[in-house]
Amino acid sequence: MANEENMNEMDEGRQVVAFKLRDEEYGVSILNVQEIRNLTDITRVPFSADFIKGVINLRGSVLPVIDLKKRLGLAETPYTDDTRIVTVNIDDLHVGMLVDAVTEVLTIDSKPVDTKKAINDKSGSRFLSGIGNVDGRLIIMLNLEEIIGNVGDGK
Amino acid sequence: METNQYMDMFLDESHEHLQSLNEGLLSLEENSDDVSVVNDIFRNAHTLKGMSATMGYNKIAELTHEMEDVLDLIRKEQLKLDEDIIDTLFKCLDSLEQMINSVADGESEDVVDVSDLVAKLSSISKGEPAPAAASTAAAPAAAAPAAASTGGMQLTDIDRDMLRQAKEGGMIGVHVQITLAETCLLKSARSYMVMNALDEIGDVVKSVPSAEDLEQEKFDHTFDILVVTGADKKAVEDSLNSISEIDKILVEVVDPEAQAAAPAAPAPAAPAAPAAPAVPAAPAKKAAPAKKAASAKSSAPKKAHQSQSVRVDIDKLDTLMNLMGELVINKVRLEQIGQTHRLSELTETLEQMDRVTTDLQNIVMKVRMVPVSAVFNRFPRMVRDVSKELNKEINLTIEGEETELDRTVIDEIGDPIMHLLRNSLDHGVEHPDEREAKGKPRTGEVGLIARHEGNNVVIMVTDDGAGIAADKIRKKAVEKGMISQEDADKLDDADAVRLIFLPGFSTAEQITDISGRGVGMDVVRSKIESLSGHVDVETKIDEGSVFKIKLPLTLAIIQAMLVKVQEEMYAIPLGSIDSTINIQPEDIKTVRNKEVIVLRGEIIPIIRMEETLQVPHVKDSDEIFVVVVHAGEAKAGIVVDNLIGQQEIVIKTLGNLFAGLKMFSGATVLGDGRVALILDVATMMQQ
Repeated sequence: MANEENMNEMDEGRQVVAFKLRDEEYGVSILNVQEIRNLTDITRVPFSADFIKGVINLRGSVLPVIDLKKRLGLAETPYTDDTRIVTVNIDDLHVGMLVDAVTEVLTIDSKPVDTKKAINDKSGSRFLSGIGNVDGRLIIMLNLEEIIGNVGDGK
Repeated sequence: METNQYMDMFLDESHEHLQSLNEGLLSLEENSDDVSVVNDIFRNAHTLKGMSATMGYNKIAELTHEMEDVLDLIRKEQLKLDEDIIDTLFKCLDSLEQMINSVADGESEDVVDVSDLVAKLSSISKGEPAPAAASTAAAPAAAAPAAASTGGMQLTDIDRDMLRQAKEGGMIGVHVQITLAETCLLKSARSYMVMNALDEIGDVVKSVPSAEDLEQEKFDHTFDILVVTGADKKAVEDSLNSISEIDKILVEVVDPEAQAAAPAAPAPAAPAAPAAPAVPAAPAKKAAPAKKAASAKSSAPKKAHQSQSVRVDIDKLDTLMNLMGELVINKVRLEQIGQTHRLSELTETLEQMDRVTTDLQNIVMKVRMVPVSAVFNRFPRMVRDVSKELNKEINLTIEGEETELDRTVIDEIGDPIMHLLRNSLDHGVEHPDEREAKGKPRTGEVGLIARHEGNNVVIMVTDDGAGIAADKIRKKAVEKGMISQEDADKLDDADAVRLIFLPGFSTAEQITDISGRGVGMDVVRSKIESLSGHVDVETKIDEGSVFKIKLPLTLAIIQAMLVKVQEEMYAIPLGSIDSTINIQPEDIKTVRNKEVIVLRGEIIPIIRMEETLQVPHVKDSDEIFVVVVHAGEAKAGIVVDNLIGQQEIVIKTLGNLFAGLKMFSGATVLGDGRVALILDVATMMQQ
């Protein structure tokens, strides 16, 4: 028991912010989330990585925004009224992520499903850290370090 | 005692006191008769002593205590200031600085052995004949009252007039000197009680230090008050006796006529003595309080010059500026709502708010500005030390130290300027004999000048020394393999001299302690350029050199031209813009498949921003605007769809996510809350 908890302490018994990308539900630890904002004007930044949507004004400072679907290799969908920008902090990086909708804050405490088996996605399951099961709902946990931590060299 | 929370304050203030001590000693060195300066630095040493003792730094306290003793003797003109004393005092300051820095690093104060200095100081203060010793100990009873009435309180003509009037009205002037107990914690409260008590039985004419200083506890333990009262001396004493925590109360009746005579003939203070018949009550104790009072008094008028200030963390100012930006953006949104829904009342209110926010914005910007004197202050001392070390006679002139620069820039320019100054002292100004041989005055002139030049601040380090020989530089550069002989010959003299800014170049024939440290002008240049500045040199053989540093007023705010390309907005720094023109499509010609325009006979290649930045094409524009920009000598015309206008923008970094992106030097938030990227013109022209 103690062992299992150690192995998976990153994903167990934690509060996560759940949001939708297309029809799937994803989640990130609430500790990484700073705020959730409505969609605002995003300024395109030429010559940046394709999944970087641009920059927005976050209370006077400039915040990069990434298109999470593009980063995860999902097909694009148009913006809706539900589209939100989830701003997250990883180490010193501060980034906004475009999501289709934010659903709720959940406590995930069930055992995560094996990632490799569950996701048949070539674009790399390195972006995922596990899958949580909440009353039959599957929440795909994201590995933020991989998603935004390693893009510093974005052309 | 928990003193950690006071640590920062202690460090800040002790640095300030050391700085004033340094400045004071320097001016004393020039003019040793200026007693007001001695008073000033005595006061500094005294405060430093008090602070360090409170913080438990006994060595610092011990050293400052000895310094204070010496300064006290000088102040009383019982000791003649000579070079030896000044040098010793300077050495003390160095040791103090080392100790304080060590304390700041969280280490002990025992980094330097101060026992020699302490011994030296005490021998200086004891080396004087009897009168000095006598007065620091117990002064003879007869002399004491005189010292108290003249030294303790100096009356102006106005005070004397008031005393005379009071006398005519049958009232008396009373000089009250209060010495609070050493243990007294709320000195201001006690002094307030004293003032209140005196107010009740008479009118307080003046106090030394001033009431304001008393309130802020800017005194040691002793203060003087002059009261005009209808009551007698006894009543005054009685009224004060009830107040606790007072060590000594000294009350004497003041005769305006005697006071008037006193300044004219300070030595025979006899007239004052009879005017205070009741004084012998405690004559022996008097010398000490009088001494303290004098020090408090002398510092009071000086303090008045200093503006009141508050220390603020620079991060807080940054936050303030960000919030300011957010406020402006929200205001713009409100304005839009007001217009959309035609709410005239809202619009009117917002107009008022607009004025306030504009003022607020200006002030927030100004708050970040710091006069360059913050950096310049430390140089006089350095120049003095270095010139002594080099046996050169050098006079440093500082101009424009009130010129203001952004705090972030100020913090960075100290080292480059220091380097340039050392360079001028070491390699620029010649030895006195050499100068004489050249027919120049023995004393070399080194200048440090700051001034505004448009949107920039220019800082110049000048000297009237030997100048830089272009041929020597050429030779050296070729020897070091930095350029070929051929290239070197092609350079004109001015460009040849600029070779000193290349990495790995050091012209000093001998490496000296002063400036030959293996790092050279290239470090200066890279530092200045990292601040978006520029450094240049002009020199004439045997006439001297001028190093000119040009810095932007601030790193945070620049003037920029906002341009529109299709639906996107970009900012081009005004510093790189030559001009803007409106042209017809047929004005664009092609030369070898490259598009150019001809402007005043000059062929300028053009860059179509829409294509270079792959801006999504939304609509065809009927007009073509060209922003002519330059980077170094090269020029280019940037084609945009529209010119929005010139505006001050706040530069924000794009962050690590865009680390490799050279095309933009940053971003800025516009008035409507949108973000515009700031174009790096040099990179764009290379594309």
